[in-house]
Amino acid sequence: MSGVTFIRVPNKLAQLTRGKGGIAVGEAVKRANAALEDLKDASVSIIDEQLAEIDRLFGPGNPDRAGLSLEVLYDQASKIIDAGGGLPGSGLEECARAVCDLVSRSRAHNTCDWDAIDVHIATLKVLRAQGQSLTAAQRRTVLQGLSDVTAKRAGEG
Amino acid sequence: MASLRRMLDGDKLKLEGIHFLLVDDNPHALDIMAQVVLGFGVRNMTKVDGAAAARHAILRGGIDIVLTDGQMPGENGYQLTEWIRREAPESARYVPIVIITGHTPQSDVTLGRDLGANFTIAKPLVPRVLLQRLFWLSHEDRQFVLSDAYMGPDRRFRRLGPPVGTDGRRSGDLKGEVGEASEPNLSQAEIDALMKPAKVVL
Repeated sequence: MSGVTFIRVPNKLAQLTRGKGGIAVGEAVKRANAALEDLKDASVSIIDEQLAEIDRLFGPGNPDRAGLSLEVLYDQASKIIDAGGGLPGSGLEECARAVCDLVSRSRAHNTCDWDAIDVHIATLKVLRAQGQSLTAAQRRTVLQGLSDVTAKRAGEG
Repeated sequence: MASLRRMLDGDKLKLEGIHFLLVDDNPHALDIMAQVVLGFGVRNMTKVDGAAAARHAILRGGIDIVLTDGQMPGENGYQLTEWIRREAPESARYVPIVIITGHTPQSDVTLGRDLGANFTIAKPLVPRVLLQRLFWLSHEDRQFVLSDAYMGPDRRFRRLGPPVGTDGRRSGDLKGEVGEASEPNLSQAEIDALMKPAKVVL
């Protein structure tokens, strides 16, 4: 193929979605949120399972943690993000996202900062226990503190 | 641009005739996606646990939109997006693709865009956020770009000028910073006069 071609593709979605009938956006969102309620207990169970596994495998209590692949930690944190809707407003998914960032950085620099990992695991546990009872400002402070620690450690590295 | 207007609660969407392909290796995340689209009134969906199964579903035909996880073991959602845009049958090549991903560094968002995804959204999946994207897709008027380097919807959404702090690459780009005023401010009367054209004799 040489050069650039612009084509106007018929928008099949527009043809199918914009006819008569259908449901109002507000109602669709309400129904989807109600449908998600059915999965809430399962989401919370998954979050708790992953938190327990993260602590068991990567917490300071495991003397063999240095031999583990951090990709496992990344995968566990990703599962918390996936299920994060189960505990809305806890800040858990933001913290889990910070864990993924940390693993990505470790991957890029071929390093492993166990102090930073310990701080992240401790924060995950705090947010699971108290995240939903904190005010938005308090949650922001906790997450900002985490981010500051990580940035500082990265700067030192 | 009209296609990016915020949807209102009273806007209507008719999704029951749309065939969704949902792709995620995590069964719970797949269930969440399915519950959300069921709530939207979707009746036709195919759920698969990876890119290979997604390719089979696309080759069978009839898929109208793809919602895929970005990070999956083996072939991920970005590679699936690239395959759809470059190698899928012609009938499926232009299908809208939304990447839904947990860890969303800017590099991944850019990657998804450059491989031809229509949107990337962050997990946990929030119904209103997904529905807003579906609303935009149903009002989509972007052209499709075919080239060696890129195949997908035109990446230029809006003409907002260069990013703040940069000079821009186009000859017509203006700097983001306005700078200090070089003349005194107009008085309110002068502003009003600009709004009220007076009758003039030419």
